[in-house]
Parts: sequence; structure tokens; C-alpha cells
Amino acid sequence: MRWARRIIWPVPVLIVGVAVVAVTGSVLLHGWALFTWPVADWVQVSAQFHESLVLAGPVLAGCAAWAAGVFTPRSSIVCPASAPRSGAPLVLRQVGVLAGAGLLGYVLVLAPLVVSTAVRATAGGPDVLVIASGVAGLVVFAPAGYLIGVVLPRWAGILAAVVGSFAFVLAAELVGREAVAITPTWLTGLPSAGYEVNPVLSVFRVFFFVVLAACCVIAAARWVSGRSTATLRTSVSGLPVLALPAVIALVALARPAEPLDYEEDPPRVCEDAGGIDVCVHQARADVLAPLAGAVADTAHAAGLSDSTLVDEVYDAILWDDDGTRDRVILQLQLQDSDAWLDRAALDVAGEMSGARYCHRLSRDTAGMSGVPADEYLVSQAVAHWIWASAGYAGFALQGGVHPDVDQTVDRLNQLPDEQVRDWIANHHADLFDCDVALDELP
Amino acid sequence: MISSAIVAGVPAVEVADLTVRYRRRVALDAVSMRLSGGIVGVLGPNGAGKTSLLSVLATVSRPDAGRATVHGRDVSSAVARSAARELIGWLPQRFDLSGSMTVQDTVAYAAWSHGVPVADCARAAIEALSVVDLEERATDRVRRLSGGQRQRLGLAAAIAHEPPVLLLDEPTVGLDPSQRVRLRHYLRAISTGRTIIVATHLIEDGAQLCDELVVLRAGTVAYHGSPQALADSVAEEGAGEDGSGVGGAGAPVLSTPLERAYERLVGSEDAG
Repeated sequence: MRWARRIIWPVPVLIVGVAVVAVTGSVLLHGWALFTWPVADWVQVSAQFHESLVLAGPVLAGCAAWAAGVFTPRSSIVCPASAPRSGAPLVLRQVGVLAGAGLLGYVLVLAPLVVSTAVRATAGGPDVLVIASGVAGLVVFAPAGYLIGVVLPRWAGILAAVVGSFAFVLAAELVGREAVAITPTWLTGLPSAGYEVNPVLSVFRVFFFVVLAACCVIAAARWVSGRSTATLRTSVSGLPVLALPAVIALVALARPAEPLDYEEDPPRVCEDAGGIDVCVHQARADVLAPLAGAVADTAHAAGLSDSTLVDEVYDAILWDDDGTRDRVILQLQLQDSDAWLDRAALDVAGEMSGARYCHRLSRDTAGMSGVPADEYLVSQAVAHWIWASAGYAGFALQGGVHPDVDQTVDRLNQLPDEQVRDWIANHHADLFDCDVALDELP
Repeated sequence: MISSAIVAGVPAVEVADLTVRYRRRVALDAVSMRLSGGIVGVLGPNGAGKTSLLSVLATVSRPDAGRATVHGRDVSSAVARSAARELIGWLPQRFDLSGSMTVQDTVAYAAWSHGVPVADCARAAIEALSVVDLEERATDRVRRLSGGQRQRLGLAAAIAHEPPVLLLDEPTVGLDPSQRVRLRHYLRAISTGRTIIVATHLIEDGAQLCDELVVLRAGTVAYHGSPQALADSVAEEGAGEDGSGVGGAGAPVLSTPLERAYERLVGSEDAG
């Protein structure tokens, strides 16, 4: 193990160990779900390189502040102010080791994710610039935390580094979308297949994080080399250098770049489901067969064996939802690996029963009051009956559901299936237009 | 490192017209001295300028005027001091230790900080710990050491890179009498071929440890010479006097010529 000690020298094994384990754990906690997704999406996996920093960044910053707190107090005996390696040699070495420890923890989780994606992905490839911006974003936490650790007393430094880093992580949420150029994480509005991340933005992010890291190292090195036990004087001469990343950040905020663009002519794969065209982005080809099966099952359960009401079911990324009634646009909830298919089937059933149209009407007329409650209830009850009959009632319905839906579905369940299907066939046009009253139910 | 740093004819430490001010207060006032080896005690009451002198020599404080060199390397300029730092071991009066670190790691990191290659740090640490009889505690956490052991650990950290010049600021403060004796013993053991400058306000340290004494008073050199010569000066002048009379009523009883001589130089208050 001597070689390992030499590699991490002069950072204590305990601090490096905590950094590696904590970063690995936090990246795994944040990114585990991607291993379980039914599709392997390079765009999302690439974005995971920066989104993993939500917890990993503050953890790494805290470890860096810890190391600084051990080595750089004014009266430190392990690296006194009089030592020839006090200053840049110490700071560069310790920050380098800690950044490396963070990267190791990061790679331990994300490398298998990349390999898994390479094996499973059906389209595209890694976005190297986005990945580079994630790596640079991780690295910056080491010098930033270290700088806080040299300026403040040990425990206060660790606390401030963790809290300050967490604020940095949340900045895009606190400041607004325009801050994604200078924040390590985006948190919301993340890209997926069908989107492209603005390459200029990614390059800028790498540049900004490199500048910020370098300035933190310079400021910390100046502070450490300027320590003195003779007076309370410290060297703040390095701190003005932090004005450089601050100016860059202000420029970025003043002139925000559009982070995402739609992929031009996204590749698609389609399958016929009993006369209904089901299409998804090529990157989601793995879910096409089960989705087409769900569409066919739903149509069959509704007694609509051909394209009576719906001609096409499209992955939302392939088509803007322009309200065209014969095309179902699905927002596939693939992050919910257990229930995405149930949700997709409910959306299809909802389109067939008119529930989605009723919902759109209610949205357009600013609330349920704009839609006859009876008609909304009927369309939702029929959608749920179709959905359950197709065998997809895999989760409890929540939110946006009429309070009497269960009761109305029970009423339909008491009838023979064929009778309900006949009734749907006879009323499909009115159902589709959200125009069937409660007393018209069989 | 010791042998390579020493150049024949060049004093280990040379200070010329060194002046240090803290705002309006003058801590050192044009102090000059040449020190060539052995253990040098810098004595003086609180505020006499002992710590200021050591801080300049340790390169952690810059003088307002004058010059100081360690084996010919200028410690008073920001540019040249990095060359001098490798020649210096420094133990401040109060120092920070990480209780969770092991004894050996503490010394090994200190060795690295002072320029020892990573591959040699463990060996350097064990050697330094053996000098202060702490090698058996090498794997213990620092938090388990007593006060005296911590002081010895500090000394080990200061000597791990084998500096030719060792600067110790009040190393015996806070130690009980037996620990002081032990620490002096260790300092004696490592003094061969080295210049050790010990700032202290304890005459006892000067008498029992030092080959040479520099007495500072209000930022100036009041005496520079051997402890014996200082003791002799008062012995000759005060032959036949009773030591109990010195210092007046209420002053500590001064029993040795050295203590009486020191008292005459700086006054009774700090004649420890």
C-alpha cells in the first residue's frame, strides 16, 4: 500500500477515503435510476455527469476544507508557515489529490453507466462536451472548498464549504434558467433523446469552471504562503483574483445562451399496433415493442380494433402536441421503470375516451368550471375502465381525477365487458368530443 | 541537509541592524548579532522582542529594516527566503496538531512540507521520533499524547528534515520540571553540528541548556556572550553580597549568579 500512500500524499488516508466513498455514494444515489431505465439514452447519461454533482460536489468541497483545516492553520506543525512547501506546492498537491479522489468516486459509478449505455443504446453517442463540463464542474469543488478551508477555522470551514457548495449547486434553481452556464448542475429542464445541448454553452461551462478552479488555487496558495504567527496579518493578496470568475459569471448572466435545441429531423422507429402507427425516437427503440403492445391492448379493450379514433401514437419528442385529435402524443415517463407503460396506456385510453380532450378544454377555459363536470367524469371513468380492462392498472390514480371516478368505474364494472364496449362503440364520437352526460352511461 | 548547507566561514545566523515595528511599538531596534553554532538562548522579558526575532529568522515575519541571513541565505526578502526555508526548523510557542492524525504521519507530513521527498518521509519521521523517544507511540493518534509528549512531537516535526538551524519559541513553557529536563536532554542530543536558537524567559533554560546567551531588553541586545561570562560578571561585582537582597522586598529569591546578572540586565519582574 506504500505506492497508494505516495499517490495521495500529502492528504491523510482518512480524508481521501471519506472523499472517495462519499462521492461514490452520492453519485450512485443520484444516478442509480438510470441503470434501471427501460432505455439507454446517451443525452441523459451525458447530462448525468453534471447532475450527479448535487450531493457529490458539496461532499468533495467539505473534504477539501477538512484537509485545509488540518494542514494550514496559522500555527500548523505539519505545514508551518516557514516550510518551503507552504503555499503553492502544498495547495496544488492537496487539491490535485482531492480532485482525483472525487473523480475516482465519480468514475466508479459513471463508468459502468457509460459502458451499460454503450451496450444498450440504440442511437446517438456520448456528448463529450457535456461530459467535460460535468468533470470540470466536479473538479472545481476541490479548490473552492479548500479555499474556504484555509480562510476559516477547521470546523467552520467544513460547514461553510458544504453549505456554500450546496448553494452553488442550487444556483440555477435560485437564480433562474440563465444561470446554467455557470452552475455545476441544471436540476430542471434536463435534456433527453431528441434534444441537443448547445455546444457553445458546454465549452463556456468548461472554461468558466477551469478559470474558477485556477483562481481558487491561486487565492488559497497566496493565503497559505502568507500565514504568520507573529501577527494576525494574512495574505489577502490572492483574493482579488476571484474577481475574474465573478466578472465572467456576470457576463454569462447578462447574455444567457439557449441551453437546448431540438434535434433536427430526429430519427424514429415505428410499429403498427392493430392499425395504429406507434412511433418513438430511435434512442427509445427498446420501448417500442411494449408500447405498441400496450396501444394494441388498449384499443382492443376499448373495442376499437382499427383506427376508429386514433391513427398514430407518437413519442412527444418527435412531434409538438398541436392538438391534432387523431394523433396521441405521449410524454413517456421512462424514469418510472415500473409504471411507464401503465401511464402510457392510460394516456392512450384517455385519448380514446375523450378524457384528454376534456382536460384540454378545462385547461383552455381556466379550470374544471369551464367543462361540464358530468362529461369530464364520464370520459375519465371510461378511460379508467378501458385501461383496467387492458390489464394496465398498475398504480393508484392521483391528482387531476374526478372525485367520483371510482364509483362510476364500479358502475361500468358491474356490466358485462361486451355491453360496455358496444356502448363505447355507439358513443365514440360524442365521447371523443367530451360530450356524453352521466345519465347516458349504460 | 545539515552538511550541505554549511559553508566554511559563513555564520549560521547573521542579523544586521534588524528592526521590526508593530505600528508605533518597536519590537526590535537595529539588532545585530552573529551566531555560529551550538545552543543559543534568547532571553528576555515579555515584549523584549524574542518572538519577533525568531519570526523573522523563521521567514514568517518581514523586518522593517535591516537584514538577516541563515547560512548566507537572506530570510528578510520575499524572493530569497524560499532558499533559506529548507535550512530552518521552527517550533512556535503554540502550535496546532490534528488529534485524529497519527504521531508518525504528523512528523512525516512535516518532513514533506520541508522538502523531504515522499519516499523518505516515513523514515525521516521514525528517526525524528526516536530522537525524542516517541517511536513507540508512532501509530498512536495524537489526541492520546500528554502535554509533554506533544511538545516532543512538535520538536520531532521541527527536526524531521534535519535542518541546520532550529528555532524554538518557549519550548519548555507549560511543561513540568521533569519534562523540561527531558526536553533539554533531547535538545542537547541534537545540537551537534546544528545551531539551535531557543527563545525563553526562563533563566533555568539558559543556565542548563545554552552555550551562548543573547539577552534582549526592549528590542535591543543587552548582553551577548556565554552564560558563564554573564554569571561571572555579577559574581565579581557582587562578591560577598547576599543574593536575597537583590530585587528588593517581595522579589523572588535569586540564588545563582546568572539569575542575579539577568536581573540586573532586565529587572526583577521576569527573572524566572
